[in-house]
This record gives sequence, structure tokens and C-alpha cells, in this order.
Amino acid sequence: MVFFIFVLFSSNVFGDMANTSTKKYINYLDISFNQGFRKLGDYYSGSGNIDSNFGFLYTYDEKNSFFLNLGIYYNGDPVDFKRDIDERILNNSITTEWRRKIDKNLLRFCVAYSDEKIKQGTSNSFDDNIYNNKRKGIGLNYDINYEKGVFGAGVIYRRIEFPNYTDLLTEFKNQNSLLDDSGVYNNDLYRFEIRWKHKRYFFLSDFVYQHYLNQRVVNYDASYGQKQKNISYNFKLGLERKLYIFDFYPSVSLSFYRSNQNFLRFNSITDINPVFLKDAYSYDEYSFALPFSYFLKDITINLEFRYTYRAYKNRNARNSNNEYISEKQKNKKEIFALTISKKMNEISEFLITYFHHHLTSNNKYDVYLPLNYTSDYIAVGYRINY
Amino acid sequence: MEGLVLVLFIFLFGSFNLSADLKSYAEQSVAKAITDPARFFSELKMDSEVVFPVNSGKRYTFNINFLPSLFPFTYLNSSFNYCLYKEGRLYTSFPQIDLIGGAAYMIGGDILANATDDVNKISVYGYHLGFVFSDSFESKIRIYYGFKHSYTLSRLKLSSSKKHTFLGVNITDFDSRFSDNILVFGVELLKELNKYWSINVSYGISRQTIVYGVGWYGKWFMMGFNFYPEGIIQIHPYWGMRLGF
Amino acid sequence: MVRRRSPVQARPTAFNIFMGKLFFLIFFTCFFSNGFLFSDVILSDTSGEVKIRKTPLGEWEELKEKNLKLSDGFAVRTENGRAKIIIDKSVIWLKNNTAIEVESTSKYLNAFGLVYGKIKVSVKAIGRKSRFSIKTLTAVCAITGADVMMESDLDGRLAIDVLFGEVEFSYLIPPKKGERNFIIPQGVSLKIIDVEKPYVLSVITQEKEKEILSSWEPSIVEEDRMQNILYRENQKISLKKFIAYSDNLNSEISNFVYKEKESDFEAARTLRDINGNLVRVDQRILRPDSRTVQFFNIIKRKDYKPYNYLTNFSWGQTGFKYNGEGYKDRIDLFVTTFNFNKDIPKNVGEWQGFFDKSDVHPEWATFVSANLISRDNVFFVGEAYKYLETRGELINNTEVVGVPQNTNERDNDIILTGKIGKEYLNDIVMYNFKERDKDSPTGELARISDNNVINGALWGVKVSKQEIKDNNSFYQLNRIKYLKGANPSNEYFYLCQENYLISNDGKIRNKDDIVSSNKSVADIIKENAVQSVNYVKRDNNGVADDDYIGSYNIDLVLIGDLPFSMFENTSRGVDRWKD
Repeated sequence: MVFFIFVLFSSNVFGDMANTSTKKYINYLDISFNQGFRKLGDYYSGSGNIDSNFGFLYTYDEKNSFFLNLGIYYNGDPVDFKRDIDERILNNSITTEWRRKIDKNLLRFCVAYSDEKIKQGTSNSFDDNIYNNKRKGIGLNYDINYEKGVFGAGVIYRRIEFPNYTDLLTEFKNQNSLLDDSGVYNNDLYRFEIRWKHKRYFFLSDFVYQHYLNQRVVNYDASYGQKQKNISYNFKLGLERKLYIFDFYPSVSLSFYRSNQNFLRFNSITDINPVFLKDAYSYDEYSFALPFSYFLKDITINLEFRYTYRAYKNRNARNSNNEYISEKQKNKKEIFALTISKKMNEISEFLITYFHHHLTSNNKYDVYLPLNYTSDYIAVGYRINY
Repeated sequence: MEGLVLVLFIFLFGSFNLSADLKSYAEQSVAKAITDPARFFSELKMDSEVVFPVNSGKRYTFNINFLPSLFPFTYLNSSFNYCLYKEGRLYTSFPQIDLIGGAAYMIGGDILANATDDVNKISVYGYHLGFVFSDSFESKIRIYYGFKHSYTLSRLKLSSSKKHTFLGVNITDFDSRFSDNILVFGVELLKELNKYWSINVSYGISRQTIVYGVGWYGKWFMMGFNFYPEGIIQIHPYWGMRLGF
Repeated sequence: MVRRRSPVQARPTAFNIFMGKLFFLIFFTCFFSNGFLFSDVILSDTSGEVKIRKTPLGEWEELKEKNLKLSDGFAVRTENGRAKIIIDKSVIWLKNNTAIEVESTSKYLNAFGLVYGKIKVSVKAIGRKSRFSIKTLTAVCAITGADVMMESDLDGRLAIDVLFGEVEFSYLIPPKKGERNFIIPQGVSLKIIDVEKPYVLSVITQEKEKEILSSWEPSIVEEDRMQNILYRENQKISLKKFIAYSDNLNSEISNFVYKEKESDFEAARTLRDINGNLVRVDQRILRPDSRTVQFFNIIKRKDYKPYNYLTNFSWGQTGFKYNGEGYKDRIDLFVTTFNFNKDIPKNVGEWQGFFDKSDVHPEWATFVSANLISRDNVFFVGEAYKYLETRGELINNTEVVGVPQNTNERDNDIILTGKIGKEYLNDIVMYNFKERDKDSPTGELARISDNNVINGALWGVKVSKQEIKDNNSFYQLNRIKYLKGANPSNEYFYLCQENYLISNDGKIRNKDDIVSSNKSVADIIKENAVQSVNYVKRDNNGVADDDYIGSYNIDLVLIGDLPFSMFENTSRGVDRWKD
């Protein structure tokens, strides 16, 4: 409703194109939707998504400006699913930022809130599901502009809450092992970031620290120990280049994720001897991406090839019988993406999208989350951009 | 051009998708419909809820959806969009304001009831009410946005020959309702004289109903595709009458 | 001292008040009537050669003053120049070689005559009863809330391009063919090339649109205007980048939000039960092996209050008395396990097709409720089903425990119950049990795998059932009598169940709360749950309040989230094996 009111009262920007006087505020709209079909192995499903953003910029004076972004995002049976093939994710978010110019540099302070709802399948509703979460937080960034580029640093904080999450499986095994009744999965996330763009090259590095408020590390006897902490170091290096007729943006990324959480593998609820895996979630990940763009009058062609390799530090792979083998788990992902968009008029485009995913892993027990499959996805869509 | 690509895409890949496991797809769809009949009937009715703004030069439009609402979903339907205020008429840049509303009643309820042993009678009906604002971005391009309340009631009378009990209670009928408050946003383009093209997105703030669509309409008729990613039938091609006065 | 009103300060009468107001009304009306009745038509800006004529028969003069007020009969002509006329909030721009006459400046009728040339008109804020019209040799155009470009010449040729709004077009002389009066809508151009021939309508072209949108201001320099546009474009780029940045950030944070999936489906809820205890429920689906699927519902109560009889429905009914104590951190469990004769597809979306295959059937199924009475012991009640090839269906009779079903009595349902070590619960759930002595049944269970006795576990065959229910409230009390081991020399015992449909607040639902709620099924599922309390009681020539095994109960709260969500993938299976 806030979104609707905002649009309503900004309506005079949509009209009166003949008025060319400078206004203190401007709006921006970007809504795209795609409807496609996904083939995952022998399984077919329809897949749709909407991304809608409403942006607002108010220039208070030469030095100060205020940004606002309202977003509504929906992803149903997505191609690159996070947890489940049939997952549907609905996210409403609001981000505001105040910018102040200090000489040539920029100080940015932002406040953000997002409400994410996740469900499986179509029958269920989005409300009150176990992984619904709310994220709220602030961020501070400083960008130093110089002749050939920009250097920036920033810090972001988010409190991530899961109001409906509960985990009673280990409590059945060990009745004395208790987690707090509410807010079991709530956590605080801190992200420290450095960005550098020099001429055509860019470099990003960030450090993420995630501290769980109540979730604890599970022990071999299903008791709980210290609080769970996750840490991640990420690096990305890339450049922008013109390669023949294409615009080319290759990049390389490295990620080092560490968690103190362990894993108890229950075969069934009544499994009295679950297998204990210490440090089950830490991994190193390497990826490179080769995106190309080609512009021809009002047609844009985007091609991308991306390869990701993840190696778990201490998690052993499983065979198809759910038994652990001696090798550590390794996952590979290859993605090929093609998007063709044609401008229909000044504010709308028609899109055709094709994705090809190929995933392999030495973990052959992937009934809950597929790790070995090939999937194809083709979709048509439209985009309104003003 | 894009219309042709769209049609090809939907019928080629849609049929490819269906033929791969048609029976399984049908059973899954029936199961989804049974779990929440009011929501299913509401989805079938939504194509008849026309949100296109009243054209320039007209005061109101009268709409009937033939496909798929009337056939095959057997909804007797009509909707009426009335322009309360023309854009810029009294106040600079104030958008055009249209009031929209309509109703639908499923006459094929009895046919549906006969198809199953468990149900004797099915009555389904509903309405929608709302308003749409439209602003001209350029002379031929309008952006429209609005709000509608959509309501569908389904009343099932269960068969007396088959006993339906739950925890000892004899269930003879079941009424369920699906209603949503929906925000609508779209773009309309005047392509040729009396020929318009439009895309729009609807988002239900109460029940997260998500619909997006593309349509073409002119002096007499309207047609297009509505997509329901959360729906039981995800793609609805539609065709209907849209008269402006 | 009381202050008195002096005789002079007489209280004003109603008549005096009225006359006073009338006087002011007349005064202000006369004073401002000029403004009320007539629009201000001002020649506000010019550039180049512009001439004016003050009366219809007057001479053309050079324009000498700025902001000249135009009244009825005035005319303006641009030769090698441009002009701008403001009428209240509306504007007329004149291009070069254009002549326009002012016919009426009345508030309710602003009428102008375009003699020849090209003008752009932007009409705003016209009252409902007001009219703004431009006349040419051929037609009259009434414009309300519109931006229009008009071009005409002395031969009667006319072009009208409606950028925004609508124009009511009327021929001065009715045409030979076609309508005399009609509306030109937004985005449409009308052309009359030959007055003898009909008009032509078309969609406004891009060039025309650009021409209309370009600056017609006599004194604004094009560079200034372009600068403004550039500034706005830069602002827009900043806004786009900000949106892209916040989307990207959200997406990166999402990578740290999602927990790795180790089950097929998960649901959870916190609610209150009938006794007001706060209950947490965790539902999942697991796959113990490639042919088995297990759905379970774990219920936890931090505080479990003791009670004698759960509700007033069970008061006065023997068999529903709870003899146990209250305690902390109570765990109850409900598990359903199905084992099939073929490997189940990995992808849940393919289950529907799998269940539909005629050569696929469950080999066995178990339904077990349990209460963790201590760290190492459970009290359980369960049922088991076994697939019989001869019948082609799942059966629940003595064949389940390996005792031949050779009488009608043995064809009844059997029950499993007992207080056992936690390590044996897996054997019950995974159908690793049988009658210890099938030739002379004792009612005790042993493992199939190693013949070891499952201490504390027993089974019985159903003898009779009594149901107490109500047709308006969702409650059901069952008293089911069993014969231990189906052996007449053994004792009887009773399974007593209290089943309720409750809201998330713990209130028992009535029929109308569900069937006439006018809510969607998804809402009904999310707002309700089933509470099922199970006791195993002694037989004392009828059901007694004394417990058969121990002072235990199993107090389940089952939510419908998972079955509701999974029904679209399992309906075929439910349909085939529901009985």
C-alpha cells in the first residue's frame, strides 16, 4: 500500500512531458516479468518471476540527496534454486540512502528492511512458513573519486529473524539438549567491504561475519555447545573490455566460507545412531564468469558463461545409499545464459531468455537438494523501464 | 513480431511440457484444485477482471471475457470500467481516474458436480471492484496503476449418498472464499488507430496473488495472455469483447 | 463590578448580520468581478517580428510593450518571430508566420481563431462549465485538458495533432460524408488536405511528437533546455545504479540466509493446546532409504500441565482420565512410514506419476504415536499395514505380526503398544517386528531381524469400538477394545482416544467455524490443528480409568501444513490406498 501511495502522489512525473523545468525529485520504475518452462532431468515445470523496483531520488541541495527503493520480487520454480526445486520466494524490500558530497567524495548512509516469504509448491500459502525471514539493518559507505576511478569502503549490518523456525529433531534424540523456544535461527550479519574501480578494472573484497543469537553447534550426542558463527572471505577481480563487436566483462571470484556448525545425519526420526560430521559446512569456492554484450540498434544480446567449483573442507561425500565415503564433497556448476531483448518503445522491451545448467558432484545422495543434473530453461518476458 | 514469438513459445513448449507427462500433470492440477477450490475458481475468474484504462475519447467500456472465462470455465461474466475524471482536465497532470467493477457466476457448476461422486452441487460466483489511475508518459504511451478487490465464493453441497465425516461431524456442505486486495501496474501503447497493446502486473497484498499479462485490444475485441505462476493453470490465453462508449 | 454593555453597543440583530455580509459580497464581487468573469489573456513573451491589431478593423502595429493584455477583437501575427500567449493556466505558442485572433476572453468561453500558421496549445484547469476553443476556416476544436498542435491555412487545409487529452472536433460546414462532430483522442492526428474530401485520421508520428515536445518558448535558448534534460538523465542513472546496488546486496545477503536442505519438506508452528500449554510443532519428510518415505510430526511442550480429564466432553466418561504428572520439556511424536516395492523418484514432482503406475504399491506402512517418557524410554501406540498379494491391498490384521488370519475375528485391525526402550522404536517404525510365537500367540513382539524380544511391546486385535461424538462440534471420543495377542486366554485392554479440532488458541471448533467460515482452505489449515490424546486402559468389565501399561498418555498436536502442501504430489497415492 505504501508503494501504491508513493506512485500515486508521484503521478505528476508521469504526465506533462512538455514541462522541462528542473525538478527536485525524480522517479524511476523498473518492472520485468518472465514466464518460462524448465526441464530438470525428466521433470518439467512452469517457472515465472517478477522483479519490480520503484526508485525515488530527492535532491535536497548540491551536496545532499536522498534515495529510496521499494522492491517486490517473486521467483517461482526458479532456475537457480536455493533450497528446493519447487520453491517459491516472495520478497518485499525497502532501502533508503542519504548521500552527502564531501569535495569529490561521497558519504552514503542507508537503512534497509526486507520481508522474505518462502514456500514449497503451489498449494500452500506464503504466510507463517518455517523459513520466512525478516531482515533489517543499516549500512555506511564512503567512496573516494579520483581522476581514473573510484575507491570505496563500507560496512553493513543486518539483523535476520526467522519468526517461525523450529528444530526439534535433535531434541528427540537428546531430550536434555535444548535450544531456546523462539528465535532459534535469528542471527546478526556484518559485512565489511572494499571496492576499487580503476580505469577498466574492478576489484571487490568483503568479509562477512554471521553471529547466531540462539542457534548452537550440535555435538555428537545431540547436545548443544557454543553459539554458531559463520565467517566468509570473498574476492572478485574483473575488467570491462571491448572484444571485437562485443562488450566483455570477465571476472574471477574466490570465496572462503567457514562455519563452526556440525551435522548429525539422521536416517529417520527414530535413528538412534545418527552419523556425526564435524565442521560440515566450511568450503572454498572458485568461480569465473565470461559475460558478453552486443548492441544492435534496438536489440541487445547478452551471453554469459559461468563456472563455479566448490570444495568442502571436512564434509565427506555420500554414495547413493546415503553412506559416507572417504572423499570430501566437491560440487561443480556450469551455467550458460543467453538473453535477447528488443526495445518495443521508449519504455518497454521484449525479452527471450535461455539458460542451460549442468551440475555435477561426487555426492550421489542428493534426494533433498539435487546436485547432479542438467537443466534447461526458456522464457519470454517483458520489461517496463522508466 | 513479439506476439508471434509469444504464441509460438507458449504452444510449442507448452505442449512439449504437457505431452511429456500429461496424465501426471492433469492429476497434479486436479489435486491442486481440490485442495483449495475457492482459490482455483478465483483464478479462473480473474481473466474477466479487466483493468485496462478507459481509452482516450471514451467515457466507459463494457467488457465480456469469452475465452477462457465463458468457455470453457462457464463463467457468465461482465465488467464495466467508467472514467470518472479525464487526465489533466481540471488539475494539471492529475491522472485519469477510472472506476472498475464486474461480476461473474459459474453456470457450469452442475456439470462439474456431475463429474465427481462426492459433490452434488457447486455454486461459484464473485465480483471485483476497484479503481485505476492512468498517466500519459508520451502521447501514445500511458502508464496505469490501481487497486482492485477480488472476491470469489464457492459453495459445495456434498453428496448425501457418500458419507463425509471428520472427527465424527457429518459434513454436508462446504463454503469457502478467496478474496484478495490487488495492486495493478501496467503500460498501454497506442500502436495504430484504435489498436492498443498493454502489459500489466498484478500483486495481491493480502493473499500474494501474482498475475502478469500481455494483451492487445481495439474497437471491439481484446485478446492476450495472462500468466499465473502460482496458479493451477499457469498460462491463460484470453479473448473477449471490449466496447468503448 | 459587572460590566454592562452600553446602549450604543447594542447586540447586533440577525438582520444586521445578514446585511453586513451582503454588503461585503456585493463589494468584492464588483471589485473582482472583472477577474471572475474574464480570463487574463496576456501576450507574455515574443521574439523576432511580432505585430498586433487591437480591433478587427484596426491597423497592424509593432508590438511595443511586454505582457500586453489582449481582449476581445485583438489579433497577433508573427512574421519572422514567435510568441506566447497565456490564458490563466493555459498557453498558446505561435510559430513564425502565424496569425491568431482573440474572439472571446470570457471565463466560460475562451475562443480564438487560427487564421493561418502553426500553434501549440496547452489547455489546463478548465472548469467543468468552461470552454476553450480554437476555430479555423474549416472547423471548431473544443479543447479541455489537452496539449495540441494545430496548423491551418487560408485554403481551409487543417492538421491537428493531439499529444495529450482529447479534442472535440466540429465541422463548420457539414461534410458530404462522415460525421460532423466527433472526438479526436490522444495520440491521434487529423488531416484535412482538401475541404471537399473526408478527413484522414492516423496515429501521431514520432517526428510530430518531437516537434510538439521541443521548446516553443520564444526566449528560451535550446542549450539551457538540453542542459536540464541532461541533468535529469544523470540523476536517473544515479538512481538506476542505486537500485542495482541494493538489489545486488540483498541477493548476496541471501546466500547467508538459507539453511542447507536435509529433508523433503519442513513445516513448523507454535500454538496452544486445549489445556493452554504452549506447543511447538516440527513436521518433516525424510527418506530412510531409496524405497521408504517417512513423515513425522514432533511436538514439544516446555511445560505440560497435569489434568484429570482433558475437556468437559470427557468428564463422566470412563477411560479418559490422565493419571500421570505434569512435566517439563515434554516430547511427543507421530510418525508415518511407507515402504514401496520400487525406488521412489528423487524429485517430489515426479511422485504423482510414480504412484499412478499399476506395478507400484506399498510393501508396508506404519503409523506410530509415541511419548518420550524419559531419556531412554518411550510409550507408544501404533498401527501397521502389510501388502497382501492375494488381496492386492494393504491390510491391518494379524498377518501383520505374522499370525495367520484364519478366523473372522483375526481379520480385524490390530494395534501395537507398550513401554519400550528408545532403541526399539526404530524397529516398530521400520516394521521390524513380529509375534514372538506365531503358533501360540502371546501378544508379545520380537524383532524380525534377530528374533530378540522387544521388551514391553505388545499387540492386540480389535474386538469392538464405541464412538462418542457430536454433530456440531469437532470432537470425537473413541473407546476401542482389543484382545491381547488375539488369544482368548489373554486379557483385554482399551485404546481410548480424544480427538479434537482446535484453533491456534486451543479452542474446540464448531462445524460452522469450518464449513461456513467463508475462508479459503489454506487459511483454515493454517488456523487449525488436530489434538489427539491417547490412553491405554485396563478392562474391568468395561473400560476402566486405570492404565494398562503405565500412567502415560500420548498427547499429539497435528498440523495440516505438510499434508496440504504435499497433496498435489501424492493425491494419486492417497486415492489408491486411502482405504
